[in-house]
Amino acid sequence: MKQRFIFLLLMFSFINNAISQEVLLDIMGEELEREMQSLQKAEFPPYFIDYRVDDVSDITVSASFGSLTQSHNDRSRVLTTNVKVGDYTLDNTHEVAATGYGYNGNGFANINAILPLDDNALAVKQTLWRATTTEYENAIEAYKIVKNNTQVEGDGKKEVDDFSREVPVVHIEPSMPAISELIDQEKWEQKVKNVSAYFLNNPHLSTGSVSLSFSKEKKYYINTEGTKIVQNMTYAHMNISASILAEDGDILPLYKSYFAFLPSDLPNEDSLISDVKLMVEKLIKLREAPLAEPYSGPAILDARSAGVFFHEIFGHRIEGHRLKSEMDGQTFLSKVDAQVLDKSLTVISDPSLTQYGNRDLIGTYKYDDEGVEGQKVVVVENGILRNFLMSRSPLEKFIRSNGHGRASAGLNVVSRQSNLIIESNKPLSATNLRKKLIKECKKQGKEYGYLFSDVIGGFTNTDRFSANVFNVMPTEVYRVYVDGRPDQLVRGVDLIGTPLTMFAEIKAAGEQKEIFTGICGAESGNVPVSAIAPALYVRRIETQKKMKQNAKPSLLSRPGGSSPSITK
Amino acid sequence: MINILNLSNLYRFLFTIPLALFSLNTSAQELGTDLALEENKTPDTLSDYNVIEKAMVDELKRSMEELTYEDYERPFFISYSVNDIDGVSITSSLGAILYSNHFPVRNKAVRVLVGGYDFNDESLDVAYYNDPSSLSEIQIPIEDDYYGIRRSLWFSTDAVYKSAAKLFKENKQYLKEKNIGLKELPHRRFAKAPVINLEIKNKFADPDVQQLESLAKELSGQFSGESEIHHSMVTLNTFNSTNYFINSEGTRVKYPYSITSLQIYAEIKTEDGESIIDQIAHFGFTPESLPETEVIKNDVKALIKRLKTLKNTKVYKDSYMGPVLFVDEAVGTIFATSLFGYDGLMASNDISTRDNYQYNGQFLDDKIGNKILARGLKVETMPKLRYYNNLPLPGSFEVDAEGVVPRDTMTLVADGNLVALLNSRTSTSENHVLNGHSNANQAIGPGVVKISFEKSSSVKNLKQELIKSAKELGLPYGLMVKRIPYGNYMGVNVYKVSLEDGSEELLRLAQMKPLTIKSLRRILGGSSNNYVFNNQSGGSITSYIVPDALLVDEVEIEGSSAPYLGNKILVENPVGVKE
Repeated sequence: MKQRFIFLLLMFSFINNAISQEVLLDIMGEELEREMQSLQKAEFPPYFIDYRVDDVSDITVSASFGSLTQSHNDRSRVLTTNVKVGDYTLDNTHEVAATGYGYNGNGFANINAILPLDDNALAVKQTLWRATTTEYENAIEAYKIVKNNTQVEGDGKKEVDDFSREVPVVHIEPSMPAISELIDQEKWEQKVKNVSAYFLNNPHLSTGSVSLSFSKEKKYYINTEGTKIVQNMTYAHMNISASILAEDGDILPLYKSYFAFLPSDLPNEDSLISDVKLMVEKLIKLREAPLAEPYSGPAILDARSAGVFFHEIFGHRIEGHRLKSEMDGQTFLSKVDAQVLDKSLTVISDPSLTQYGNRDLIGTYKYDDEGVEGQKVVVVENGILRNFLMSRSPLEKFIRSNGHGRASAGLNVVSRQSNLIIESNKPLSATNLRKKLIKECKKQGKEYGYLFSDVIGGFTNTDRFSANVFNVMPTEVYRVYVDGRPDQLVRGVDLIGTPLTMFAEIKAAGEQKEIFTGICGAESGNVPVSAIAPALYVRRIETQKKMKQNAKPSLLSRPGGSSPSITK
Repeated sequence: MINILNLSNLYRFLFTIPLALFSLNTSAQELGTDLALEENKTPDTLSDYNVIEKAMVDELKRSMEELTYEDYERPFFISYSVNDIDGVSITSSLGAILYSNHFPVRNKAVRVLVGGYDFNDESLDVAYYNDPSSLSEIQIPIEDDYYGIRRSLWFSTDAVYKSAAKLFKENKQYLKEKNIGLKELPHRRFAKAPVINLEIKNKFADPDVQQLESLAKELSGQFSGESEIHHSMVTLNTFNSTNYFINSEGTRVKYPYSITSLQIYAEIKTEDGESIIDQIAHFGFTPESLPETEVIKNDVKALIKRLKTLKNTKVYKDSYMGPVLFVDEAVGTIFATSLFGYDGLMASNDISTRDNYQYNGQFLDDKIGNKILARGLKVETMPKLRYYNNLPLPGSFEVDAEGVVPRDTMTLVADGNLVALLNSRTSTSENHVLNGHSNANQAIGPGVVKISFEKSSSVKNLKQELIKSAKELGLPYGLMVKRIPYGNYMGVNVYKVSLEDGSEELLRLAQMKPLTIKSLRRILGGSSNNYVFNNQSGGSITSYIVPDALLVDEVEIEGSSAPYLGNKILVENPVGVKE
């Protein structure tokens, strides 16, 4: 508990001290100033430069059927820099209509800029200098294209600034202990072995593994506007996964993940073993479950499934930068102040929320990757669209960032989700949700509705080049019969659809919320996100058959017996 | 069918070692007589094996005895390979560590063959889909965990065998449908190889990571005062690995080896901002087998000096076709790219027929006995030679990835005539001879190559020959090439050699047409002194012992007439900036 207290203290203490104790930040500041001054003599001087350094230490341990398969430590310092030429109203990131050139199309940052692990000033500065030179040259080339297009032809777009003006911030957190002081690696090696050994008890399992990934991040950010930030974060992410072979050759997986800021706050070994046993029981049932046929009709998405569902169909369409691009479907651009969801529903994105209930939230951060404080944003209020998730790429009427500019190390920032919270002002009990489902099934003449109990993840397209569909990948799906028969577990189902149609079909939400913890991948890389949602009742969903494997049972028995005690 | 799993980027380096060697028509008896093992031990009982070997042996035995799959044929051959690796990887710049990691890695390779030596699942490419590893995987444990290792091998064996069994059935069906005899159908055969029990004992010293970091910092720190050097980096990798290999024929190998590489990269820019890069590379077995630190530091000084010279050197702008004198590293580079590139002195895997013909290169399978190189040129492999003139030859190996021991010396080319091609246990031609040169990347590599020229001469005399030949051709000068950094023929630095007094003028950015085997038919002379050149390509290291000068006729070199229109440097390099 002491360790946890220290961690929270470090993470959220404000030490607004203009005199930094951070050697690396000082070195970055010196080089930033030198570059900015030197480049003012150029034909196209930059009006903004920033440096972002992700100092990440990782430890990963994993085991399969009781055997340690990985125990790995790593550390790197990755630099990302942005150089902007022009001014806030029109700069090198401006999208040139119909060319794909601009904010979404001008490529990645210099991902090869690896900084020294120590604070060797000369080595750090030379890396910053090289990266700045490269980015500046890219910025000039982009700016010339932007200027030529806007001056000669006009791009026909409304006057919206290319970069928002923000108030500079200074926020320096003291250093955290070394990663080795936050985790006992040997103890975790034993733990993942012990837990994964319980998968040996079922001879039909194809795979059975347990892994822990713990990372400690120290993020440095500095820009020419005066913002200086050093902030800490830790992520302890644990995964349990197993798969079983069905009679028809399909390989059926189940996954369970856990998140806490510190490994010590993850479930204890007994609890994990219980979850492994439950997972094996579910897999055995899944093995016997019938394959589902394509379906269109009413469904309930349990809380975790609803979280992923909202993240995919809704969350990616409220990310502001997409709505600026003429390559994007811009689902919600013209729907501000219009009703887009059932009026009982409110949707919030809140990176400042560190816990829900007593559970840590992976999508939390103090400042985003552009040095803007992560703010609570009410995106939808009682069904009415009010706001978007904004980085420093403004939209008309949304000219300021609300701290949702995010990226993984080495990649340029775009607006991303954080902790997505779905609330209902008319929540229904699970019993009443079920009654609604059955009533609607009868109305639609359906023998059964679907209950999506758990999912592994999903994906969606928002651009104009392909259909704006989403796909949520359930792992545990039940048929709920209208005639009172017990729920029937089925397999081989993917939940699909198109967003606007689906939004109109969300008709009620449950009382109890649950957290889905995930890593979201998009153009700015993988960022940690959570979705906190109640169960949703949807009047009509659509499913399709999941891709099926055609594996054969193992020809020989799996070596090593069935009990953890005989694995060695 | 082979399945190689658990390959990480870090591990790929280990494949620098060509592991397997083998020949087809040479009988097992013949090959066996060449075995010259440092230690040869046949275990009496399984208790003589360690945990890894025991797990491999037990699972292989069970698989051979019990594997059956519906009405498909049973396997006739299984092999397992496990590499147990202790690696250190360090990157440094300007005296600072950018990356440092000390890591254990294990990987495995499982091969299951169905059918027979003459015709099996690997013989044809008739299957449309084949991916035994696509479903899931049980990784091999990093601990000596008997059941864990067996489970990992079991999982792969099951997948590989099922796929191999189906493939073999398809291959048989194809043969039947085409109504053609096996002799008329181009196909791959699997050669019989001698059974060996080889255990090479070698106790690794634990890598001293701190000491290695200090070395990397010391070397990279040499650039700290060099304001003209735009970028520099030192990369040091060292791997201690033990390869365990067994097969169902009874072969068992335990082969420990170490590889260390040190690469130093530097970049300078001209006043116009044009980039010029160069590098130093040293390869050895352990870090101790690298040159003394002071020697490397002198190399770094020479590298810096070279780049500074090139910065103010003019660009070569002429068009030249005539004799070129290659010296030192450049000789190694041209032999590496011409003789052991894709279509070099290696047996081909090509089984094209006229209806599915695919041009994959100019293979030499049918040219045994023909003159393919210049008269007097000799090419030999010496895969077991670990040192030459006290210099380490890290390309060397004792046994290949298929558990075949190569001969100490094998002649590939004698007096310009092709004698043999390097090969693994897979053969597509009667001309292929099993000689044990398969590496773990499913490729064939020589390991250590010695190239000599009968009519050897001194560098001085060869330079005179260059001048004489250029004069005879009416050329205004001769050309000399000393280094081809990174094997990049598009940016070669050349020396114009005056026909009057032999003086040399350095010019940069010449574009040389890559030399092929055909180009090496026109060698005018070679030096009597030898040069050791280690070349890392495609994850493998080959050590070359080559003449330190070679005069080649009819080399095409073009100048670069295009202007450089890149960006000038606007901000001064912080290295050298006064605080």
